[in-house]
Amino acid sequence: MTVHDAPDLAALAATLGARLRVEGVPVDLRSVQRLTEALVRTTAADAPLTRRQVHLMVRTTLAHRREDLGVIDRVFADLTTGRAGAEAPHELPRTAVSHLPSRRPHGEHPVAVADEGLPWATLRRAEVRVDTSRAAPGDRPVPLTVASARVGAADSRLGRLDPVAAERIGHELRALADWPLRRTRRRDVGRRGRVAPRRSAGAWARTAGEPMRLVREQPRRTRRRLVVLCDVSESMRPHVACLLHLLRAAVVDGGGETFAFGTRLTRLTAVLAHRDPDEAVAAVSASVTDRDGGTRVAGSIRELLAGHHGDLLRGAVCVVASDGWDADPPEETGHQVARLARRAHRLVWLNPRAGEPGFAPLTGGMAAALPFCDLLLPAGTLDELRDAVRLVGRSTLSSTGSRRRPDGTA
Amino acid sequence: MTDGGPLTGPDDLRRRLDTEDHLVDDGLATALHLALDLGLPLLLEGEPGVGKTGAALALARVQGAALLRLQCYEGLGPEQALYEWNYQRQLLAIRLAESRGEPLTDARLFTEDYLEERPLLQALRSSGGPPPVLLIDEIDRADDEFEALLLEFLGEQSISIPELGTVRAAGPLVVVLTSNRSRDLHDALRRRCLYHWIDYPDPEQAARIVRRKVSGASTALADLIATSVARFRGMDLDKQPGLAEAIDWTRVLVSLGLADGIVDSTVDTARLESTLGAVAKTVDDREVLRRAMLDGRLG
Repeated sequence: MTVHDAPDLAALAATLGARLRVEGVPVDLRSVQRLTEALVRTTAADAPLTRRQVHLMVRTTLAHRREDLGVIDRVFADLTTGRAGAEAPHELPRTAVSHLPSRRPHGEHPVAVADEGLPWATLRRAEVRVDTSRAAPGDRPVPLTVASARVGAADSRLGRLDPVAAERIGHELRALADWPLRRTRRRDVGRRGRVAPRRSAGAWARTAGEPMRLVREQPRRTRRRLVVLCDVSESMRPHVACLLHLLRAAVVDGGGETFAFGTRLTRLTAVLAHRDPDEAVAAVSASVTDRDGGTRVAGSIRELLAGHHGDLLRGAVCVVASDGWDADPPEETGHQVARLARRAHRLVWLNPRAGEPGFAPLTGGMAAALPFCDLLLPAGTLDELRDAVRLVGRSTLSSTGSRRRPDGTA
Repeated sequence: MTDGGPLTGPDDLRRRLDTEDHLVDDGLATALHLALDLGLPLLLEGEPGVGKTGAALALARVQGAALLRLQCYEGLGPEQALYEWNYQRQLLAIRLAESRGEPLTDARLFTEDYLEERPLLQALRSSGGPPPVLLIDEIDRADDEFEALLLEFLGEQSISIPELGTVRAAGPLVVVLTSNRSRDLHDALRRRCLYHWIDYPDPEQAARIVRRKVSGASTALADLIATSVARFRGMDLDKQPGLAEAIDWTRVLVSLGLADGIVDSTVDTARLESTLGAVAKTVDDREVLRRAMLDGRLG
């Protein structure tokens, strides 16, 4: 196709810009102006433009990030095939879907019990089953759910905390300012630290060359990146609502990246950043499709490491919130967690069950991951969660020193 | 350097880059052409090793222009990017003026003589000859404060020096920024730039590039390497091999004289394994590739 005689190129550019804005690509006037300029200059100098050429110019001038390119391709194809006037057939879901699938009654969900080892998916009231099937005579039964005080709030489905409790938890977590820090290569004037030759010389220039004052400088500290992975499988269901608020605090205040995983990985950072906690949690419920199912720790971590966001882990404190009940073979989980630990600065594992009396990290995934964790912290109650946030922000984790692991990896 | 008069369009630029042994697809050619034609900065993003920096270098060669390069790193500030006053010389001047009993004013102390140019200011003030190509490499490695420092430069092509006033570009300027997307750049920076995403080339294009870059690589070898590396990219690797790794590996094979053996599959597996260091950059990756190689050889 060639652009027809004496086309109004500005109108074409403006139309494209308007269409893209409807589709959620932020196109500013300057970009439209650039596109017009590019089209005008090329048509003035060259033979008639081909559609491909126009397409490439549109991509170069109107896109600002990789995500825009797909939308531009689609809109451009629509425009050139004359479907521009029609209602956009695949509008991007910019707003969260608010209706949620109804909850399954407890009894209807099958319990997946492996022949050997621990089952990876379980009912919420799992202690009954464990009492009868696993406890040998004389053994003290191991309760698998959290303390009763938390069950009230955590009993509800993902994200449906009673609003007052949710707000309180959210506020408490957000009030904690101890997010991890790191040293930067920039230096600020300080009272201690090394003498800054340049700054001192600048100060002496003001005193007619007399070295009156030595200026010292010390490294500036900035927030260390935080990457939080939250297990949203069935076995984690009582804790997810509370952990979501931790995730949101990490996004809004900690400037972190957050992901949910069950059988696959979902990035939550964008949806959790919403100003309104209820909206944010509703959006999470809509976007995480694999919740309340099985867990694939190794598969999810592999997905994170292989994907584009894998690079976010470098130099970051990585927090994994999971009970370690895992469908993947433990060797594979160990291998992937080792990779994760190598790439991240520090690895912290939050296990909601770790605070319970008699807890031992015996589930396959947890046992496999433990050698590579810098810290294993309980996160079953609000208090434990609060302490966990404090510990994550502690200087021992933020410092730049090397670490020693049992397997010798540094 | 090639000199065939003014550029007539993306295809012309593509042809000229070709003569400089840099093969690009029409998307990148259009982006580079627009950057030259409209005088706008160009932001190149893409996976590591797809030739973002190479594109800027080749562009400078094609234009016969000087290349000014600013490698970004954390802590990079105006002293390294824009300009700095030479404090030592200023202090000496103060002492000198004092010993001679001359009065000294700020206007005499903050002049061109004491100004040290850094790449961005150099690019603005260079005159004569083709406009220099300024490469701001791996901008995602600099901290986000640095992006704000670039806004005036990218938007208005000027730098304001409080003591001297605003320095404007003497002529047109070609600015190429590259990013590996290790962090998200600010919208304000993106808005001021043209944008192009460089994809990993398909195996045919990769083979063409490998053949062009490695003298002595046969067509069969280049094809085999390109398809193998494309297959490696589908595997679970810590570091996905890019075009740069494909070229390195071909170089290694050619220099070890394994090129013919690998094409007709007569090469000794142990010798082939010893070359894996050119593609696999971690122990784990090496193991994965070694196993893949034992299973199905290459290609």
